[in-house]
Amino acid sequence: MNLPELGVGLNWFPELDSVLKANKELVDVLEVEPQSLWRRQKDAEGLVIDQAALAALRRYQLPMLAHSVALPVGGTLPPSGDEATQLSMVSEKLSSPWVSEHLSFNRVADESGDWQSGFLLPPRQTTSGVEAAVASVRALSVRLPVPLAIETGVNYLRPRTEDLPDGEFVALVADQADCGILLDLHNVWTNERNSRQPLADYIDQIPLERVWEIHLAGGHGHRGFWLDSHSGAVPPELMELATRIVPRLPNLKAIVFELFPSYFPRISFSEFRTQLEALHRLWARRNTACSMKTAKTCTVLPADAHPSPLEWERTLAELTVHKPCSSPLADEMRKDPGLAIIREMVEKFRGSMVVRTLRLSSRLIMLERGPAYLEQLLAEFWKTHPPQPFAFDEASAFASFLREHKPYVPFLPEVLAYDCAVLAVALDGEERCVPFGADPLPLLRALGAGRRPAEVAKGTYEIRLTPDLVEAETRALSVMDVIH
Amino acid sequence: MPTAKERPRKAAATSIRLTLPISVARDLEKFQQALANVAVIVGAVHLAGGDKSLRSRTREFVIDAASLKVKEAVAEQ
Repeated sequence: MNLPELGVGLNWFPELDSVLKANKELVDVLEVEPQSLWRRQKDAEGLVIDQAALAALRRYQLPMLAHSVALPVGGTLPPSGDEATQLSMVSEKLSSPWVSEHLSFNRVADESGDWQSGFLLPPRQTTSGVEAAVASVRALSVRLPVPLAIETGVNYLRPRTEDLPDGEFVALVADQADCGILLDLHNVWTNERNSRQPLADYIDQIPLERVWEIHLAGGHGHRGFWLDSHSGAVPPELMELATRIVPRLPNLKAIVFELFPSYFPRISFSEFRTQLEALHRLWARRNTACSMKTAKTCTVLPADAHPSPLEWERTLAELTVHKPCSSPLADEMRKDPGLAIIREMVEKFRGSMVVRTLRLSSRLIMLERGPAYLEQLLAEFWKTHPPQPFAFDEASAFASFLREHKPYVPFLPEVLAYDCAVLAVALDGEERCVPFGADPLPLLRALGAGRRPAEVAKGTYEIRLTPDLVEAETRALSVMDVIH
Repeated sequence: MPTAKERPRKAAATSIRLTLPISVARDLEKFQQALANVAVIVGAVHLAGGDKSLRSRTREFVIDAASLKVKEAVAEQ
């Protein structure tokens, strides 16, 4: 496969702009999550591409790679048609030489319909699991204008005795689907630190000639686990391992550093530069002399094992979102400490979406009843409402939950109506009026300042929210939020 | 956790409408400044003893998105 050599890059977020401009000579490629360019259309179900954001990306005049985070290809449900079409369109607009997507799953279909787990979950690593993943990879590949690479995922669960080893599973999927591999070294190293397969064994099992791209990142320890949190510089130990692995990759075309925007303030400009320089030294170690054509291998698959991929996916997703779930597999999975870590990550993410969007209501609940009470309400909400990919939908669902359950919090109905109106006006540009039975001025001022409202006069009040030009704000609300 | 006794008191009635541009509502810093500006105007009228004819009807305050200044407009009854 004749793919271009791109070099060292960054996983792009708008917050990276200043770092990028300050280190432009050290950044050869930008990796873009296509979902960050998707917007929900007003009054419609479909998605559109944010042309302004796309134009802003093009102004960097750098090659771009499409790295999808919402259509994982490790499960039994193939990626949805609409989203695959959007991914295809964005990858064309970015002129991405290949597209990458995770070898995981995040969607389940049951009698309640099609719902999201809110997290990229590990696939079933058996013969049937390989077949399911290969079918998904093929289903997405045929929709794309360029080749697909599968990203090696993080897995916080304990290895199971009947599982194919992590590396072997990836090798079988990549070979049978005839696709590339995005080797996320931090993911695999995280798995090793959390008692899964050692990175060295993993590398020995995967078809190295299929590795087109590497991801590197930092993480942190939490409750006995190492988390793939993209929270800082690449740990020196991992960088050392990478220096030994890179020369073994004959078709390596890009090395991408990942850092989540919430951690940007923790890394100084000079540390960022040092990191990029280290990645360039790593890139220089690649061995282009032994480049070879990718060949399909014929592997005899081992006998299949229970549970089936369908049962695995449904059980793990149900447990992740606290849906009622009863089976021997569910009982077994509940004992896995990794499940608590997955749940915690999903809940932290969902909680942050609610607090970010229903800002004043969340503050009011915390100030009047304490943070633990908000957590209790959220925990109840999560039991009955699966995660939503758009923050607006997550916030709307939680607002409905609050209206239905009517927790005792003074002024909550008015403040909630205000928060919801702010979101709605920002999203659809239609004016809205919010009636208040008490003076909103001291009430909202206190909440804005993070103080508990003190003296609030009773009366007839109304806040009229008028739309004005807030493209960036609208964009922030209508963008898809994906944890990965 | 506050007790019931400490909960906010409710006082006398009035009728006020506040027009707030969404760009101000979404920006916490601008939002605080705009509300402080409204409070100054409302407070000034109250300190001056108020105008009984004004008190009998709805008062409307309009916040300018760019300057965050507040103008009082006469609203419909």
